[in-house]
Amino acid sequence: MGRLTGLLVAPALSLLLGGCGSLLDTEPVTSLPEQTAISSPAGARTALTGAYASLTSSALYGGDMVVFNDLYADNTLHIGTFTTYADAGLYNLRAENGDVLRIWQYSYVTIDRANRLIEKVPGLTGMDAAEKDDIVGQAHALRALSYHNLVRTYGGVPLVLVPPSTVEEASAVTRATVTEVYDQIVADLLAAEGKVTNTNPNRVTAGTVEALLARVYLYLGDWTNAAAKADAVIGLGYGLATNYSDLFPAIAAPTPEEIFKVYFDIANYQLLGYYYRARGYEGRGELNARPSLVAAYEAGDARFTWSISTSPSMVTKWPTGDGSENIHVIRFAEVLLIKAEALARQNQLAAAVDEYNKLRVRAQLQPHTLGVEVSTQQEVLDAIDHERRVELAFEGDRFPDLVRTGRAVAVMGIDPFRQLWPVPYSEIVVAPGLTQNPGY
Amino acid sequence: MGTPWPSLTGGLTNTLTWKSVDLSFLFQWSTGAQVYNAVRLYANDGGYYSDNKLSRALNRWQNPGDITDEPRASYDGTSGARLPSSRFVENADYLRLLDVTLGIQLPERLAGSIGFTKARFYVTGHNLFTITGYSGYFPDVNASGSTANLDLGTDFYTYPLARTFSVGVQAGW
Repeated sequence: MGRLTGLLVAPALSLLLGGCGSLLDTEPVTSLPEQTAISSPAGARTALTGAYASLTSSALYGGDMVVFNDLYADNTLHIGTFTTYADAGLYNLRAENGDVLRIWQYSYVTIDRANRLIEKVPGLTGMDAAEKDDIVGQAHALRALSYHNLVRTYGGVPLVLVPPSTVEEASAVTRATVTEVYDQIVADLLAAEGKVTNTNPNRVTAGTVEALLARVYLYLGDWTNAAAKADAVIGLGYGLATNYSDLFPAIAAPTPEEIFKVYFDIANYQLLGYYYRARGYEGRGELNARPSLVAAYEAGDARFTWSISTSPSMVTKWPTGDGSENIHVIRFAEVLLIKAEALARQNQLAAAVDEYNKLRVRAQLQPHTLGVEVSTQQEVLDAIDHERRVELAFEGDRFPDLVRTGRAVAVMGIDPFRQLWPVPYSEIVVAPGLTQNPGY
Repeated sequence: MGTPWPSLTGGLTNTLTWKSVDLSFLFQWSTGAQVYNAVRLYANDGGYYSDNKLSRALNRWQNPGDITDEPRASYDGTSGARLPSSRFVENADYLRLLDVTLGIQLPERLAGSIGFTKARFYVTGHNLFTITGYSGYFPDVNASGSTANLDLGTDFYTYPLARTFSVGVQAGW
């Protein structure tokens, strides 16, 4: 009996195994190979969603990048337990800092996803030219935004404009100069100008492109173009929200001030409310406002009432700890600040004062009059800096703004080399062509 | 500056019997490994973090002229004592008495009187004592879960092995 069954079993098994080859030959269901991912209109739209999703990372607009730009500055105080945040709060970033690494890495994730869209979408069939332009335009803007976030904190970074095809190619990158990166950023934004037709402010819109151009031109010191692009945004019909408090809650009615925000909800949440709020108030008490910032607000400033609580002591800009509030990438108040500064830098002081007065009035403060509260160009610029600090507090603007205006060393008391973040050590290990910033 | 892999590990086990008493024990030892005591990153940091501090902080530097290896108190963290440091890398050599069992076999006559053909009572202790210079709970730790094969030798509030006692009876009938 045993020998017979042995004679039968072996051929039966081999039939079975030969026949179920196709059963075993399956493709992974949760990922697509790079060659086929963006090969159809549906694939392209999904990939665009993916590019926006990368901005929600807790390394970027979901947490660290927004935190670091206020924490490694005079706005935010570290009171919690993250050692990476402790380094930033004490102005002692080291090349091994894990969040410095993540901010770099996840910025390049967005860049990579944008690169793939820019490369593949123009050649698709089944999609009309207007939609292709819209998608590619949005991708250019996302790439420009990511490169600007990188260059204003790390300095010159590797310019990767096509997806690398091999690991060796990816490891062979070297750092471009700051000028080269800014040239690419401007080129990307100009390529997007006039192409983006999307109107949903949770994604890049035509106004986003103009606003980002205004911001980048301000960073470049190109006052004329900065003011011109700010005017372009104004011309598109944006305006200030009626109340400062309208801008931040999760279930908020749309305001004319939103230009581009990163969408979050209960399921895909950001961590800023959780970090800034105190324990027992939906937060973990990781961060708080620095005393110098608290003292900087004028009495009666509605922005203070909304953003900061004294008892309990915490930052209340995000009213809950569940992270469902959207995070503004750029909003109209910043555009007005850009216009005010660009005008002031060109000595058009009265016009500059008019612009920032709009923010003061919205914050229920008395407007300034040229010749009374401010008279000289420096006083106007100082007033604009004050408005920017209290208006955009905790939104991730302060540190690069201090560096841009040359005040970082004086305000933070740091060595000049610390105006650049270190290139992450583990990036230098995998890409030995990268040079470290001096001093690190 | 150190390695989490011991250069030598070993054990000694023996069972001694004398008449109806048996005693067995197992020692375990390890030398050559170091452990990064990450608890001290929060508990020996000069006061920046809110965690409770180890009593060694009482020996901190306080006045010029003090000679000690404990850094000064620095609530704002500017002393640098809160940074990861090689002073947290500690020697993890240890000798541990892992198992001791003392058993007594009841004579057959006594065993029969309670209804068994044979009975042996025993008491066992696990993890009775450890001789080590490590300042944390126990040097044979690994705080990592899923990456345990990659990052060994870190103690981050890792729960130590408990000392347990058990008593029992082996009976036959």
